[in-house]
Amino acid sequence: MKYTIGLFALGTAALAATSLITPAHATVGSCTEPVTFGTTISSTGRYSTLADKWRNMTIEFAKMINENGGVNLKGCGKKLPLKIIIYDDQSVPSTAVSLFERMATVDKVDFFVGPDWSAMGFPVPPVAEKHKIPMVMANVAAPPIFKRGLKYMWGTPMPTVPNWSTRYFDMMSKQTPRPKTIYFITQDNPVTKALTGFWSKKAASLGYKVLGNELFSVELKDFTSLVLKLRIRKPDIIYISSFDSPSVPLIQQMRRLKTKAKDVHHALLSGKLHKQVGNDLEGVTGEIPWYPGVKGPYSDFTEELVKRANVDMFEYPWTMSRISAYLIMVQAVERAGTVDREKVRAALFKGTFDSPTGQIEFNENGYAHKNGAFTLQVQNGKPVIVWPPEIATGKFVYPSPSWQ
Amino acid sequence: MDASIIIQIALGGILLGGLYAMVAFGLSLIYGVARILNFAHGTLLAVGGVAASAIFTATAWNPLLIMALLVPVLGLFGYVFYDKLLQPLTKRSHFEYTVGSVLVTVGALLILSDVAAWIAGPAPRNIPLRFEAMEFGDVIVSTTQAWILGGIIVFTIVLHFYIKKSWFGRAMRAVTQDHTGATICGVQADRVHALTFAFGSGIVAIAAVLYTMLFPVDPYMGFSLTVKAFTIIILGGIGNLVGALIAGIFLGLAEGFTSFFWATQWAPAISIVLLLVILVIFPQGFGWRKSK
Amino acid sequence: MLTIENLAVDHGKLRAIWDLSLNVDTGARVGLLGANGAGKSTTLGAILGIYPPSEGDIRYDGHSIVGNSPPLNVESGIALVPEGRRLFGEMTVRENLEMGAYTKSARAGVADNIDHAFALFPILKQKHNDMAGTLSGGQQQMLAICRALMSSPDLLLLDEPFLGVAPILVDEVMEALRRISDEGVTMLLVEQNIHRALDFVEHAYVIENGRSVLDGAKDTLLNDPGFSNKFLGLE
Ligand SMILES: Nc1ncnc2c1ncn2[C@@H]1O[C@H](COP(=O)(O)OP(=O)(O)O)[C@@H](O)[C@H]1O
Ligand SMILES: [Mg+2]
Repeated sequence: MKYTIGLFALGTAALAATSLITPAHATVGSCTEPVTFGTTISSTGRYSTLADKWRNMTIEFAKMINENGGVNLKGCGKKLPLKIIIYDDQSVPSTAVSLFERMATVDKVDFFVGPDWSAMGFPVPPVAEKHKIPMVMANVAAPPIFKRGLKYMWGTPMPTVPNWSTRYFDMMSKQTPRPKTIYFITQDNPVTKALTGFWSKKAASLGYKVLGNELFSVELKDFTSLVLKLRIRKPDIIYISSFDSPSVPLIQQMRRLKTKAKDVHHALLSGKLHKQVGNDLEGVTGEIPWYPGVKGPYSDFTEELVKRANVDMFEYPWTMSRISAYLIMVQAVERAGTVDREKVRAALFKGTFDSPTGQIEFNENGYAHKNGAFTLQVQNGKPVIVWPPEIATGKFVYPSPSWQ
Repeated sequence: MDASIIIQIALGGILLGGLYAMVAFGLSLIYGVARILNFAHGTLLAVGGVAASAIFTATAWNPLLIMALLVPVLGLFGYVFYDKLLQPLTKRSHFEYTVGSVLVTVGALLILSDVAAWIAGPAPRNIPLRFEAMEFGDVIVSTTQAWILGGIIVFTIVLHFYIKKSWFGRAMRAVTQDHTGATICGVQADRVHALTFAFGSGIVAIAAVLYTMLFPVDPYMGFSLTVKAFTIIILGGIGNLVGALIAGIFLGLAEGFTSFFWATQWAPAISIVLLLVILVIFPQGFGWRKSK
Repeated sequence: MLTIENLAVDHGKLRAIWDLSLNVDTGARVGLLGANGAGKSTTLGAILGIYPPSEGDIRYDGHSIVGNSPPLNVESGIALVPEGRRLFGEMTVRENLEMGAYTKSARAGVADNIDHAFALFPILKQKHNDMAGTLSGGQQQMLAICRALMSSPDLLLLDEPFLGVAPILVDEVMEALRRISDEGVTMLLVEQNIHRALDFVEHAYVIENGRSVLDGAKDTLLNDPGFSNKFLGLE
């Protein structure tokens, strides 16, 4: 009790102190001051395991842009340095709201990048709207967030629900023997449920027979019954839509009870899961927005950035969305040629931007609706991109031998 | 329905239920002796499991050795926890004692989870030790499961006789049944309280290692275990180990069969449903129940 | 053996004993008499260490035992047969007896003392495996007495040991208490039934509202007009 209250008091005091010592930023839109982005990162709190390396990466991003001279502003006839102000939102939406408010009024940043997570995507954008500051959010995926008519908000989640498994199903349609049946297993969570909700219908329309659709809560530890259902129904594809921690016992017990399938697909696969279940993950397929070695616009830049920030994309798969938000904002400012917020807003509106994952295209709601993912497979303990063939770093092994 | 499937589900349910029961043992002894609902009890399993996993990752020790290390450590924690934080409350009025003990144990739950997450990270972890699987027809039993099942059975029997025959076991039962009566016999109530906390926490250390060999643990999973253990005590009776084991296995089986015949998403909630149904249908409890 | 001087005891904010003094010689049978709520049970509790005194002194074997815990007093030879018996209802007769020998120095004598108890009340031997809660009132009282004897006490405090005992068993219990006394155990008996008490004790103290008001040998009391008017007439 005391501990929590103490921490709270300490946090408040620290916030108050920083607001006293940070100088106010100069006039918005000048040609002399740096271009300033403001962002919050969940460096502590419940999302911190997903994001704890991003603060350092964000600092490196600004450094790398500035090593190339900065952000090119035609209106000024020169490049201006990029400055990014970073706060820790502690994974708490209300903290994020007050920090963005503070960046608008005290730090007087030019533009917002971030935050992440749908829980923040609801309350934070109205702050941008109020101060008329364009904002490109990163890992904010829930579609309702984008249907509120907000005019200063964009988001580039990777991948988006309707495009998540497009390439995976494309790959499966080209395999022999062709898989005919599929079984969906879903963690009880809005994002994972949205994924299954979309793809179970889509799979049926693609000609698969959906043998089962099972929901499980994060608390569940004994999956014996579910695994036995898999053994009885014998699906060709087991499609798991779960974040990486809750599915750990599922994968382990599937192995322990010798589950068989032609392919086991874990739609949100990451290195964290791999660390926990080790060999049990062999042959499992997953999806990733981008991986070093995949060529595209800014791919050299991004490879260098994640190398400098020591981010393993397989362990931190949500990183690409973050980097894309930064890249899009830089491109939008360069396209506008000025730090004028209204001109940048016009550049963002229904814009198409470059990213190592390919073209990112915003619809009229500010949603990067075409973001997809590459299909990977764990082979000999390493993630290998197996689809699409143009960029694959290895060949898809099918049917997966370790699940026979 | 194929018998092998029923057997396989039953096996999983018995294992999980047996582990629930081990958590319930300590909770039940502690409540009986000190009349404190120790909300932090399940969290000790979570934290002990995280520690066991961390030790295993670092040293690859035999889980029995890890157990031998964790039992005294958690036991000492339980002793000090009672002696320093809860015992002082006994000098207060009954109301302040009740409310104070809830605040202290809930506070301990929060702090233990946070500290464990801070030291070892919030992500789930386990003891990734895999023994050969044995197959009996279509039923698959991993050697790990067989060992753990054997461990739970042996442990329950030993514990049962220890509580029945040893001086400390008798003292715990005596304090549970009549606190003043025990004092008159020369039992130092405060000491028995603290030792019961130590004893219950030590049992949790054993359960923690066994649990972590089967299922992942994370620092924040403890409270749902505490709730399950409360359910077991209500079904099985305070201070009644055999009742707790039966109730625990009953709960584990109920979760397994709910998941199989109905839907997986309902399995974790079944304990609450069962509790309500049973309280309504059998307000006096079951035959094996010897509540006090 | 036991001397109490100007004792005062509080239950929380309420004073139960105001000013009580008494003396029990080694080997004696002394009564502590008084109406319901006079403070008899509180006095016995204070001696054993359950209720710490607020004022006054309690000396046992020449040493002050004020502030000693019950376990310490049991260890040094005091035992209580409490009001309401306070048995462990879900433990067997034998286990209840074993609990009576819980203190370190008593543990060695468990077997002998159990034999002694079974000799005193053979019914307990017959029912040694039954739960204490299933015994009759009289049998429970026998068990409570024997449990107190398990620590081989020198001073036995008895709080209404005949309460709830069927009339046909009262004599058996009384007879057993005499035998225990003959074996040299000093006794302080609390009773509301004056006739029965005076049948057993040699000397008695009378307390009223937490104060000792009268004391004397059995015959003196019986011949005291004040005492007879006050108590004996009411019986
Ligand atoms: N545990 C207790 N808490 C508060 N008051 C008590 C307690 N025990 C006894 N009393 C009070 O102290 C007084 C003396 O009680 P007690 O010693 O039990 O009398 P007796 O044994 O002579 O009937 C009574 O007024 C009773 O209500
Ligand atoms: Mg009384």
